[in-house]
Amino acid sequence: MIVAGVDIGSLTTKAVILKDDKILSWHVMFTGTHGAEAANKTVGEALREAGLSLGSVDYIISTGVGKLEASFSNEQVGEILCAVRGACWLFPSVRTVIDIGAENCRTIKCNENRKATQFDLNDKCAAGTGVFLETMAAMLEVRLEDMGKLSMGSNSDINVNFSCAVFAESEVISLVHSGISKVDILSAIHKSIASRVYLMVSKMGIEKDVVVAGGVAKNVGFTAALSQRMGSELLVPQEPQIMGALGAALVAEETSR
Amino acid sequence: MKQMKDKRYAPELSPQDVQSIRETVGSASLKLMSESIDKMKAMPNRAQGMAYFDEAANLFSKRQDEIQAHKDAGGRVIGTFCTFVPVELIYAAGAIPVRLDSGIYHTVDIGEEILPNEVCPVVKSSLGTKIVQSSPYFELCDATISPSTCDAKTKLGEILEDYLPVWMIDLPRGRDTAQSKGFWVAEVFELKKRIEKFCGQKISRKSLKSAIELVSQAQKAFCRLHDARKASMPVIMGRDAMLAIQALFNDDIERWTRKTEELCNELDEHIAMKRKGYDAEMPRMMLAGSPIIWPNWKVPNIVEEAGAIIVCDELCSGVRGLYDPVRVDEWTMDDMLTAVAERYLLPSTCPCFTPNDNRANRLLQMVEDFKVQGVIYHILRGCHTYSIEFMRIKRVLERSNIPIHRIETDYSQEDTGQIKTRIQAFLEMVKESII
Amino acid sequence: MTASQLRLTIQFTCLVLINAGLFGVAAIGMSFLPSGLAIPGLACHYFKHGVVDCFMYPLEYYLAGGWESWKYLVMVTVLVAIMSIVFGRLFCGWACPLGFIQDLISYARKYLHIAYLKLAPAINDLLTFRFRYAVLILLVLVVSISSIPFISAEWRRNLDLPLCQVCPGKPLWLLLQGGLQILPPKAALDFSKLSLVMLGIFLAGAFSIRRFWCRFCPMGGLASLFKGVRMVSITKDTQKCTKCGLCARSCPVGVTEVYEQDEGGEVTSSRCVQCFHCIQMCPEEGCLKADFVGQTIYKSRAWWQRASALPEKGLE
Repeated sequence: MIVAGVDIGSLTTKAVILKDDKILSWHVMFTGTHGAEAANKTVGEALREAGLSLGSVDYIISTGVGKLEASFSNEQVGEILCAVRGACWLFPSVRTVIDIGAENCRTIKCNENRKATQFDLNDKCAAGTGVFLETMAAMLEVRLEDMGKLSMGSNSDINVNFSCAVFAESEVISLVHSGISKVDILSAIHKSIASRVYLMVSKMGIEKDVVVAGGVAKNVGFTAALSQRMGSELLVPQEPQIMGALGAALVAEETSR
Repeated sequence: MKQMKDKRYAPELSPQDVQSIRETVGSASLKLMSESIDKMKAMPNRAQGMAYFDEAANLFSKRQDEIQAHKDAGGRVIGTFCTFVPVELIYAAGAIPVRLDSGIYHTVDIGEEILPNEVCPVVKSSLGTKIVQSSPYFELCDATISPSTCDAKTKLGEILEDYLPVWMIDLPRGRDTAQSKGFWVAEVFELKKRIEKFCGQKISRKSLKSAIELVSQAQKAFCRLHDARKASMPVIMGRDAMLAIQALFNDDIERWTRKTEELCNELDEHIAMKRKGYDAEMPRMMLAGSPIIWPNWKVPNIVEEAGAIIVCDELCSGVRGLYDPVRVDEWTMDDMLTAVAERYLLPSTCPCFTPNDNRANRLLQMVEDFKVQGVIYHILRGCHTYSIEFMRIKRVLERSNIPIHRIETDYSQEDTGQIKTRIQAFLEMVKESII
Repeated sequence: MTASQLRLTIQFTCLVLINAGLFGVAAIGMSFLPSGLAIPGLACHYFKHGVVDCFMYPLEYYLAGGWESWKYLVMVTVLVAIMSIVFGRLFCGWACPLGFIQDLISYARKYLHIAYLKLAPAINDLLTFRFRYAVLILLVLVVSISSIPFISAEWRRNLDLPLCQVCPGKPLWLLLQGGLQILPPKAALDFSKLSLVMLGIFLAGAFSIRRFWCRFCPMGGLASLFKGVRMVSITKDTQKCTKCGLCARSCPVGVTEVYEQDEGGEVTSSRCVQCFHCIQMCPEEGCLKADFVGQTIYKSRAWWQRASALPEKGLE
């Protein structure tokens, strides 16, 4: 049986094709301004990689902020449910899921039955999400994907609390002017996001194991900072971005079974 | 004669300004109310008895003419805030009580001109409403009684003194101790004298007794409505019940009682005949936390439009205001006044009290009685006491495996989408845990 | 019928049946009941043709009798213990004639719309926890002194049956029987002056303070000693409790434990007379219950479901 999951996020769209509980292929691309088109393309691309056509897929589930735009999907399912399913499939021992995307940060607690028991979402503010990291990278003239590695070279203990993504820019400028190195600023930025995320998780009560996923989880600087702040090991999937889409595909598998 | 007091807080506004703002606020509120009413009417199988409350809840309805007629005949109108004002005393003195807590969105900005940003929208809106005279009921008030509950409400009393006589009644935040009780009972005895003087009418044993009976009858009707919501096949949507309850804020109590009884008769018939109900599969939600005051129907609308039903609430704008009865043991003046005083203080679960242990018990009992499957904890930005108690309530409910989710919002409509996302995610989680 | 109406009926029935002598009817059971049989709080020894005694009388009598009467003393004490364990203080709330008189006086006061006095908790505690046991200990001491041989005959007579000499019940019942011409005038006036003063205190107290006498009655104190093992208890469901304080406000003897106790379960206090008025007043369904060996015999009802929203009217 072949199923597909597609996660239409605010920045990127992810698709995963499953066959008999095994990942056949996956694809990630920018959502752009047209969610429906992105969804179509991403699924098409993933299918092409797997050498399949849309007709051979038994069931498709879409999730993410643009889930309603995927007109070809059989069902739409919430992001929380997909994140939990994906995380539990990857790491059966998981009890806490942290999913940080471009504009959303979700913290979820789940039980051994793969059911969410509590969750929290970030409020209006974007400080603590992927967009914030992107802005910071642009400001400091660093490539987004290099941010994490670069910051690992810092051993400073500067702590900055960026409580607002907009004001953070001026704060960073003042840091630059006071002669603090780029590397140390990057490390401070990661620590700041980590402590925001930590606050969200700690209000629910941290329970091991903890999985961090979503695009931001690709940033090793951030995951290291969060791991340190939480005082525990973090599990990071090999492809953290596609966890939601994977979860959607798993729900599709369950539903069509 | 008392010396004219300088306005301490009130902004300088010309009558023309007030007039024009009042008109814009008025038409915006009317639109908001009719939108919500239309949404509620759109639900199938709505009880016919609700038609009366749709009318009665209109903040600009004909009820103001009735109150005006009462005033023209020499009667007094006294405004109240929160759920601590013993309305029995007001009725006993031949006056009409009107509850002034406001849910009007468009006066928040006006209140904000005086109040700091951190204050909750209920207080901002109530004050703004008075500044631009946009609530006919507030304008009809000869005086208002303001209990010292949370910080914002306490100071609201002081600010309102610029506009009309305000009587503070001092609420002991300790509540359960013997000293607190004694203090509060004395406060109510004092209030009785004040009301008598203001209304020019003695509160006699007989008039107080009939006032207690009058309010008891209304509460009894309310309890029937409350009970009807326990049915496993829902017969009334939560928004409808909340609207009916809040109509009593300014409605004629006898007529309200009669209409509520009629509504309950209709609902009881539906329960008995097992017909005309709503989908029994809908997740049963409880609303807890900060007050949700008509026409601020943002959260209830979102919850019920997302396919859930609000089966009960513990809001001071809803169930808490009417649930606990005045029970008199001996019909002496002394015992009646003590009974009235104790009814407003002791069983209250308002988080302005510390310790507030019985709130958790009350919630657990309601969860059990109403077969609640999830709790939505509504916090108005700036409402610190409810916000603080969230952690504690969450622990208690989670120990009983009842999911709870916190929604923090205010009277602005920009966050509707975000709240919708949260509530949909929560309902999805609840549904999954039911299976 | 409300619980309080039922209670009044039972109290009246008890007064007639057990103290049948009041109406000059010789009790049928008299011939086969052993003399000196005591049921706590049920009857006064000075009733003509009374079936049973107040327990205090045989206690005084046998205590003064020295070693020869110890086995009767033990017999009576065991009986009282059994009665107290089985019925708790239901006697006080539902059968005691002194309690009945106090309730009647309260009804008269209520009819006149006169408010009762509230005893300060400290004073109430003093009466119930110290005073009544002090009276009991004093009684034993006085009786023991009177049994010492070298005390003069006059002193001994003065100390004879010390409690009965101060008990307001004795002049009350004697005068009542005299008034009903059950007793000849001379016999009807055979009580001490002190007890007449006590009767005055009793009546005035009962008028201004609900169940005034019960707060320090030594008989009740004795029955309360079996509090931990008795079969009748009042229990509370904390989750259902709204802490409205009605139980505390309506309690005729000023028990606050029912209100204050937050652990739930058994809430009976040693000063409780088990009249169940708190259960009748409680507005929450099943929050307060009266249990007999774990079996619920009476429970609170949702206030609004009763025929009348007002506690004093109608059927409940």
